[in-house]
Amino acid sequence: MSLKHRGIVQLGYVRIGLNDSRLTKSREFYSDTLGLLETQVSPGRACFRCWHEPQQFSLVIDETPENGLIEVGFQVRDDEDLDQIQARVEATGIPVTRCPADTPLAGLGASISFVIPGGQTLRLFAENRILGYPTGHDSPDWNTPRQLRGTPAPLFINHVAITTPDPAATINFLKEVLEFRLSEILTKDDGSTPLAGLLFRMSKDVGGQEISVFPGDAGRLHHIAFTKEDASDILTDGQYLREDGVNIDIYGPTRQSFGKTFSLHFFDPMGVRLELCSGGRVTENHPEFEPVRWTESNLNKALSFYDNKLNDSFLAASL
Amino acid sequence: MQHQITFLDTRGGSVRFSCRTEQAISRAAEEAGVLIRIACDNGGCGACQAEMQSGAIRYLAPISEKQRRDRRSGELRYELLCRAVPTEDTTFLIRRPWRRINRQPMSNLLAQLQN
Amino acid sequence: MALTRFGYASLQVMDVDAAARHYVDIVGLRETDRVDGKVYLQAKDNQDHHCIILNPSDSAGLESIGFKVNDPADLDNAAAAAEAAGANVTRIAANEIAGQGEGVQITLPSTHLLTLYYHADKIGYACGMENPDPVGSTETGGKVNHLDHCLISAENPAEVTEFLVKVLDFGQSERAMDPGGNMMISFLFCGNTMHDLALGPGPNGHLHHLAFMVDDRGDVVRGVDLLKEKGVPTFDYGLSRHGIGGVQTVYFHDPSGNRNEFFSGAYVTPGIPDRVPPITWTMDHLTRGAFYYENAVPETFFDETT
Repeated sequence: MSLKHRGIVQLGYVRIGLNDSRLTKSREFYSDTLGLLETQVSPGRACFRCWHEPQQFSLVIDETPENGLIEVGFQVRDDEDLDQIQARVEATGIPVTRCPADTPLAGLGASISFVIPGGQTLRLFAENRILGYPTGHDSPDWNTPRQLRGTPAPLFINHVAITTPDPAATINFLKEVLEFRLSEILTKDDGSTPLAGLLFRMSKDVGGQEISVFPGDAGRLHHIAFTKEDASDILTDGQYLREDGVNIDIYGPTRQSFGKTFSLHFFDPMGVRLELCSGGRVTENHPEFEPVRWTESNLNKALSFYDNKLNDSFLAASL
Repeated sequence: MQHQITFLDTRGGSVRFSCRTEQAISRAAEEAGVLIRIACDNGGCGACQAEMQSGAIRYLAPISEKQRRDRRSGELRYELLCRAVPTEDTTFLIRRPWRRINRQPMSNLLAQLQN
Repeated sequence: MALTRFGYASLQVMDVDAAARHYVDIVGLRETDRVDGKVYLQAKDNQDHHCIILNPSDSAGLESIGFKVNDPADLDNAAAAAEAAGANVTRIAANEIAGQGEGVQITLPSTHLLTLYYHADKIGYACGMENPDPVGSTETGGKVNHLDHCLISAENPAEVTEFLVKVLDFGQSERAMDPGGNMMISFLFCGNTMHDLALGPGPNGHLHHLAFMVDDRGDVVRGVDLLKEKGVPTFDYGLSRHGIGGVQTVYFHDPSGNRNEFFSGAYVTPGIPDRVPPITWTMDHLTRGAFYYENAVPETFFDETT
């Protein structure tokens, strides 16, 4: 039997709902200020991707009466993975919903969805329509497309951070049922209770996580992170964001020791926290991969290597 | 002490220069305005392979033995000029063409303009 | 399951001590072990026992390359699949390579030896594994994070690509094709990065280069400064950018002539083959693909291998 990568292979998309009439403010922000490419617009929905991504979207925004995280999409290899993961999730007592192709999102293959212990919905799918790289497949210039220059124009979606009143249960579910690995874990000082964790399935160079878990309200989003080439880029991006009046987190550009990323956090007009990151732990999807361990008394250093004071507001969910 | 080095190419061209006994032949060539292809400069990559037609050399430091051999036949064929020093007057057939370089381009330009 | 990452390159060097000094002082690795005349080294942000093994030899070159798998059963499965595809396979006992569990060694169609192994002894990150400062005071040389990929040469890159995709589930991110439709260069991944293993035209069994990743373009710039200041031989153009993959780069050589690279850049691949069609470079654009600023490739670029 030849070898095969199995299970979750990639973070696919984040889908959020915003109370933004006709999505006017959101579409303007994510296209013109953040520098994503809008790939589909339909009544009540706008889809975006980053300029280095071949698939049809990595961010979906629905117009909804209340702001909230709708779901996080992860890509698996094939339908056999969907069957196996469905069985494993159901064995924990969590119900799984199966959707045919193009439901709820056009261009998505058949999918399964379920609510993880933290209260967020995950959707797993094997197909998400490939549009091809925006810069083309034929001897491309791997440069930021002209229409996005002067904006951060991130290359990829990097990770999504969620909050839960029981981080241990969510981390455990992600590890045991979905076979995520921990790249970093933060516990109470006595080491007893996990408070936050960075988890991954991808063996990658930037970011060191696809999903991170922070303590907080059930079912909520802490932030969505996008990949940038390096720290110098992120410093410039901070200038562009400020020029557009974007609210930047008081940490400013910083080295986030928890994950080792160089990061900038800021907010969209609806208050959704976003991150640009570069660097970070080099991950390996291997059972013997060992996480970095943090204790809570080091939280200040963990969240920002550069800032002298803990920013309490950073701990709050944003959506 | 110096020895005379002769480079031959496969089309009948030749160039001659002198090389000190402690000097890599590639360096002496460069000083004489003869630029041969050098890449690793450490006796490993084979960019400076040359066939010795007559004379003798020794090596300043270890070189990669496999780069001395013909890739197909495995026979000893090449010397590596980035680490070879002559022990007598020596002639090489150079595998890749050399390039003559102008070592005083600004002075030469001025001389031309002033003539 | 499957391969996870490029684990190590076992190099042949003519002077082990000179090579060790290069990989510590210039590249910035940690020396982690010396056993039976071999030196083992690891980068600061990899937690395994080694990413480089230096073997004393009368020649420069590649002894073997190693890839990790994430299920112990992968070793038997890979051995069977490789044998079924006509490859020679041998077994490696635990600790036959220091710090490493048992493995299987597959001879690729290009004659390179590819070792698969599940276990590596853990030494942790250079900064430590508990409440670490994200940057270490002991960082030296090029401050590389990890050994990222290697480019090996093959008389028939397409044949090796087909083997690696079919038998070991590699995917292809980018490739270069000659006018006759022959694959000249092939970039293959087994995780989610642009490449773990790349193939270029040249002699079977040879190494073109080993690439070490740094975080920032500024680190590549500082790396070139360091190489020049220390008199390390670099490729003609010094600092450049690969159009292929869009990464900042500099090539240089270890004291035995084996080629190294410092590079930076972000790139994500889907982790499985055939999900996304590969980027295809044609020969009329290869100058820009290889060296984006200079828009030229010395014809010797692929010829100089170890």
